[in-house]
Amino acid sequence: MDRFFKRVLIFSATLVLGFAFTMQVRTGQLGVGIVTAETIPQLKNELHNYNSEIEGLREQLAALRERVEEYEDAMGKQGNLNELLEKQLLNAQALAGLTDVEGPGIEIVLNDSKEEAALGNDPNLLLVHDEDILIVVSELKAAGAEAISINGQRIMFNSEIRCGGPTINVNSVRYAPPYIIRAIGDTNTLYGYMSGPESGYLDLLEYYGLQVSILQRERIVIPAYSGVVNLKYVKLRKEGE
Amino acid sequence: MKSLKGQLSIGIVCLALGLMLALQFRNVQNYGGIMSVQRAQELATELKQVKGQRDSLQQKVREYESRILQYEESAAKVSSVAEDMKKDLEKARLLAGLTDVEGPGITVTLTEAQPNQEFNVFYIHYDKLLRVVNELNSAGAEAISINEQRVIAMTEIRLAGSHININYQRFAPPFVFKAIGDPQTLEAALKLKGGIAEELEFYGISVTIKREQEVFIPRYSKVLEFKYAKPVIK
Repeated sequence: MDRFFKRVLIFSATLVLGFAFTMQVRTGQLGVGIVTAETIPQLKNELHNYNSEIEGLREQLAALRERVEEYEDAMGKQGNLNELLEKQLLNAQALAGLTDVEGPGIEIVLNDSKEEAALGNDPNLLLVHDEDILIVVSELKAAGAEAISINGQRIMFNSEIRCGGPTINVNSVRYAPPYIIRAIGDTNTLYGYMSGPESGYLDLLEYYGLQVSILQRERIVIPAYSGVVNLKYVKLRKEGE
Repeated sequence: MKSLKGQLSIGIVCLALGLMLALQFRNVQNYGGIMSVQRAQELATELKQVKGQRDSLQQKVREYESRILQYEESAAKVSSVAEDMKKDLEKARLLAGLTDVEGPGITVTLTEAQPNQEFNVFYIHYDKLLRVVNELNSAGAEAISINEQRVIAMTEIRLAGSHININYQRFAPPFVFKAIGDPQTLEAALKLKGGIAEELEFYGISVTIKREQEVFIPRYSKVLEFKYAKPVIK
């Protein structure tokens, strides 16, 4: 009886073991591996990214088809071709920050606190810092801003916003407070996002005693980048490489 | 002797069984168990399909783009005005982030020094990612990407729930930055005493910087078009 019981025990243990083993192997085969707490959110992120990329690619394709048609219509007529090229050029330059642009938007003004630092308090808490502006600019982009300037300096893809003592450098030009940040985009969206809880960052600055104001504007002009972009290292990757 | 052998084999089987059970149990504990394994498999299958769709669309976009480039080139051959415009167009597209680029530079990998599941340091210090981009820009970076997302003038880096949004795409650590520029200057800017690398390490994020002879940075992957901003024509 004892022996019989032992055999049954071994048999069932092997059965369960085999089952568990197969399951582990199957999981591995499907490229999932061991499922941890992070696996599913990670997969969901990737799925979201591919889907939004697909959406973007579809839009891109539609725009490209139109452009190909335009070129085909203009073929052989140099005047029309030049017109088309000029249109493309103006568009690309606006996107790159090389032309002045105008449109509706908002204006945010940030200034140091009016209060004097009490003895023993950190006066740093009363100043607008480069990091504050960096975050405000990033939040504006998240809200869909198409073009942004700080005290008239166009924010480019490679613009730096850096502390230089009591002043701030943008595109290597020095500015003192107040900092006027202008952004073109959907006025309601930008305003709602920046003034409401969605961003919340301006509220935080106000809480710390900084002077913050935010205004909706029907027409804002954001100038082109005033410097020269000199590229020494970057080069185009040609097709087929 | 005989019983020892039997006991030993039972012991080994039990050990293996225990191990398997523990592994399964950990899955159950962490994320809903068998259900989550199935869910993960479903997602993985879906992901494969969607990726295929993405790749074929990307292929089509490339084809159309090369056709347009051909039109532009043939126009430039005939007229010098067109040729000048084409050159300017190339540069503007590069600055706008509309073209794949390459050049010398660095890669910077940020990972959690001690991953723990209750909290993720990146979600508290997401603004440090902005700082990394900012430091690289100060050091003269000519193109930057984060997890293959090209940093353009409109790129946001923002905490959104349990992930970080970059170009409206969702990411979780690790974060891999690529930057084109002078490798030495770029590296030095991050490694400055009291600089961003030190700060990140302090907060529990490990920083790995590698100088590269050639880095590839992809173009912005979505449609780039202004709806509200209009060029001012002088």
